[in-house]
Amino acid sequence: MAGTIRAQYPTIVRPVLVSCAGRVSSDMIMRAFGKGADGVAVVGCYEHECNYLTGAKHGGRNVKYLQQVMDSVGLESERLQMHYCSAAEGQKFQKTMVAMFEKINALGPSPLRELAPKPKPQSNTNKETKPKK
Amino acid sequence: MLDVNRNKNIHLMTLTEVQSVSGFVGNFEVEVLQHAKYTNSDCNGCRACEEVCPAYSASEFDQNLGPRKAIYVSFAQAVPMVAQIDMTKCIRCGLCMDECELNAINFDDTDKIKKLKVGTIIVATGWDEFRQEGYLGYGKYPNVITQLELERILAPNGPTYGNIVRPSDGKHPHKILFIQCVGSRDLKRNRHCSSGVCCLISIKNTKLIKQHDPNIDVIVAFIDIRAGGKAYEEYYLESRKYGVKFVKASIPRIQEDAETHNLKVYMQDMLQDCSEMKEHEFDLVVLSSAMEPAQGIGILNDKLKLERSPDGFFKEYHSRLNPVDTNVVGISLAGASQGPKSIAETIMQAKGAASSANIIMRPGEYRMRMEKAVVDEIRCSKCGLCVENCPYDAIALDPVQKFAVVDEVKCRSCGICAQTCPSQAITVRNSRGSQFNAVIDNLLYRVAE
Repeated sequence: MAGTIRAQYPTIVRPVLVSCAGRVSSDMIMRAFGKGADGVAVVGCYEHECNYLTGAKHGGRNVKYLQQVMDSVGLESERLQMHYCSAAEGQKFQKTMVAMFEKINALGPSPLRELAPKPKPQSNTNKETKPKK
Repeated sequence: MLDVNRNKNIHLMTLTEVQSVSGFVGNFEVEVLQHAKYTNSDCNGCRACEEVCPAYSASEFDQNLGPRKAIYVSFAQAVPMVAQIDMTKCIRCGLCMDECELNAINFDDTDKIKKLKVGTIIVATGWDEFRQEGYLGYGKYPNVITQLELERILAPNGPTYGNIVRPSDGKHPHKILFIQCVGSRDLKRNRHCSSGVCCLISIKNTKLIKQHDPNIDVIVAFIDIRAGGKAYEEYYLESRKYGVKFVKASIPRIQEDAETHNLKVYMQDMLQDCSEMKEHEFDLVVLSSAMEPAQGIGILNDKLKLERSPDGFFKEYHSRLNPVDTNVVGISLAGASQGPKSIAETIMQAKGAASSANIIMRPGEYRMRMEKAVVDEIRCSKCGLCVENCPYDAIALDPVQKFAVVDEVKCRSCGICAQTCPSQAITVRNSRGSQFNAVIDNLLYRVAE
């Protein structure tokens, strides 16, 4: 939807298409941080209109738990956020993305980025990711 | 309904509740509880028993405005035309048994649980009227009634035999006010649905009242009249010709005169006196209440596991492209279980639901998507977390080996099990963890460049 209405959000945001916010497991989020991501947003349906009955609840719970873990290891928990946007709310998606981008910009690069494996020259297959929703 | 009852291919079960639903499209197993009627199939609905029964109760069909007996036929056109006994009201005198010539009454009847095997399910649970005690005086003042109650008062076979009277003293009212959009289109109470039909029900009833007695002053206070559809606008204009007054007004409160039970209505005409609040006195106030989902819809949904839209009705597969089917293959919706509807729309959807069921049943086979959860039996630690978290009860533990087994028909590939599995033994085909990891790695390498 954000694409259809030509809503512009920061180009640094890279969407990963998943079936449900409940599918986003801790290891996927942590892998992103481990590979040098400065922030991760999990965007799902509202809990009361979840497409898979309880998926958004599971996703939200998982994110909350991971935020506690991040706080305890000294990584700012604002780097991980759960947002609820319905598929028709492209405008809201754009706004939350811009707000999150500004917040993370203020925080600076993730301390884990130095530890992340350095990029290798790739034989890039140029895999385009689909915009989310 | 009569046709349905006569068709030998249709098995009609009344007074029946769904207890549990299991299985999948083509092989649903439904357990139903058939409540006891206390009459057997010999009953022909002659209603002789009703005349001798000494125990009275309020009639649910007449919106509790009239009486019924403890043994009763629920209403004059009931299908099947069979008497039933309300055992909470019955005094067990046995007079009906003596009166019945067909020996159709059986006091030893019990509730029966039946198991049915069905291929498809059509949900048509209907609606309930919005009724909030105290709101605009409903329930507090006897002369504030809802549209359904007025409907019974106006009916020739109703509790008043079609005479227009008001409930407090049985007198003929001279000034009647209809209030539209009660409980709908209201930011505080229910901002979701306009029922779509209550404008036209009001117009119908105002016309009926005017035909009974043209001297009754009938005023309709509306936000806007929604008379969209074939011949509905003409219907509205015709009612204005009868002398019904339509006023665009908002009504914040109603008070009752304690002696006369007349109602003082504070009314703000939005077109004429925007700043002023005027007080009018009416004999009878009729609330055009919103349609709400039927009361038991939540209990039923615990068994069907469908989605519900924010207004509480069952959610369709797609609001425009497929308003008949649900997300569960083999379960379709008809009528007001999906949303507020008129009779014409209900018939359209019901026919659509019937053919939608036939499309699935006719070929005798069903093709499904490949994206389903799969279990790595060696990795599975048999903890059962996925079983608990699956919203569709698609996962069970193998009775012998104890590892998780996925019911591929029930699975809808949400991936919650994949997220909760601590040993990453369960995953969804075509969206495995390793695939996501590759996507994430690739994205972040490119960002770092």
